[in-house]
Amino acid sequence: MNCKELSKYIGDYVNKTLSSDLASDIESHLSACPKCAKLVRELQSTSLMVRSLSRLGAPAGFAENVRSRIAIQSESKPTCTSWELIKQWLHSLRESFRTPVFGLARVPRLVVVSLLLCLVVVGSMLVVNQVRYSSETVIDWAYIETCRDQHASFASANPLADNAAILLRERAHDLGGKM
Amino acid sequence: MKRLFFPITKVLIIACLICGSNALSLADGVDGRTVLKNMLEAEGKAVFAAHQVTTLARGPAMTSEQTVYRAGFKGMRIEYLEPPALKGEVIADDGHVYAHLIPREKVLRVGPSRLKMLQTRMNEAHTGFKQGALDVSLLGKDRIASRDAYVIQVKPNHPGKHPIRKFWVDSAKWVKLRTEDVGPDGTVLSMSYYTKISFVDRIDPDKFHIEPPRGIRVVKQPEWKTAPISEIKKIAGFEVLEPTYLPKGFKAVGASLIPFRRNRMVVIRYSDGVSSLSLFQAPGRVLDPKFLARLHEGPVKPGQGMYSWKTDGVNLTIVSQISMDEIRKVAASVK
Repeated sequence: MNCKELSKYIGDYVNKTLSSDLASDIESHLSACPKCAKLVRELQSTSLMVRSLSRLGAPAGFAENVRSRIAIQSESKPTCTSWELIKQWLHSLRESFRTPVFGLARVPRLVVVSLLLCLVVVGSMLVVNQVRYSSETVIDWAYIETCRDQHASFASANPLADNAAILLRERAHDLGGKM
Repeated sequence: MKRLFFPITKVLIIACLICGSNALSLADGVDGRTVLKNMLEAEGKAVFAAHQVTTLARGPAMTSEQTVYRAGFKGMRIEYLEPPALKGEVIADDGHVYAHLIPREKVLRVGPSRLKMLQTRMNEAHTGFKQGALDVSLLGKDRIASRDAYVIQVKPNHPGKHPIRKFWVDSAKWVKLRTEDVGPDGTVLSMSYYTKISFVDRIDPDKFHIEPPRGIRVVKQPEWKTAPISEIKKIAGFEVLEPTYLPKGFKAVGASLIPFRRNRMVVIRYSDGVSSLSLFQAPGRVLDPKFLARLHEGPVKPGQGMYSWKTDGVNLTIVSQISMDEIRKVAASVK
């Protein structure tokens, strides 16, 4: 698996919906490619954060209220154009801003969802920055590369080794995702 | 009588099958051990120019094409033709200095000769081979790069899961024309093979040396010498640890002190004749404090076949292509 192929499956990998074979291929690529490993860590932490957000419960009678309104509106206006729908939505939005802040029961669901979405986006940007900073500093790459180079010289000096494959693997690690 | 006869017959049949598969010899009287012996001898003598294709199937998967020049232990040159990210890179080794020119990075990496190390370890291979540490079988004949070749399979002579190496060896010149690494599950991990090869009398020695072109920065890699572990322990300056567990067939080949960040670290090298394992040890002061803090939390896998951890003020890293389970077992036994 290379970096380009991984990008196709990264979402499914983070959501753990891949077959075990494909997942193990991805894991072996991740163990060799610091860039992809970093990307996956970032996505995983973002996904974790979104999942950890507490669920907002709708106020009592919210569903019945919405259903009855729909029923009333569908009776009075059997056909609605898209433009009319948008106008209705804008009207309800305007109304919602006129209601008191703590009168959440009358705030349209879309406003709550939009606010939550903004919160998630801003939050994940902050987390991604944090992860990027920490993953760059956590591994001592000069030390790790010295170990890898030293081992490659030793392994390639084995008369029964595939010298060309060892040299190529060494360069592939150096280049990381640039290949 | 009948009861005794059947087990004896079974044993005889099994023995014949084992002998037949391990010591298969072709009509021309050549067996696997002879092919391997001749191949090892040719490593230090053969002079040729070739076009080579190398494919890595696992880890970073990729294929590369190179022009290769080889004059036994006296010289080696590899010119990368493909992929585009490696095109223009040249590796040259004159038996004294190993140099790798990377024009894209404007760098010439210079280090100790790998051919010299290969020559040193040739004795190790011969000894292992003579002492029966390697299980060699002749699989048959094939044709590679328009030349006739014997196909042999080499694996460590001990039970358990281990990688197998297959060689296609020129039946006239005994040069390996193709090498395959096969994992314990039977999948091919990597392969290198020549598509064209020309045997010549001589290659200009200048081919095996790289003069740094203008504007190229020379980066010198540290020099080191391999010595017995006991000697390195005396001069390391910190307590050098050793594993009590090694995968079957693995033995210590030697140890080295490697200069690193105005300090030094120790590496102990192990091999079973086919695969290699390096155990690196560095005192805490040598490494980045943030990395040390991370190691305090637990082991890290910084790359494929790599495992780093910390114990009693010493930071350790294992590098090997053996399975991660085996690497962890070795790490757990280091004291």
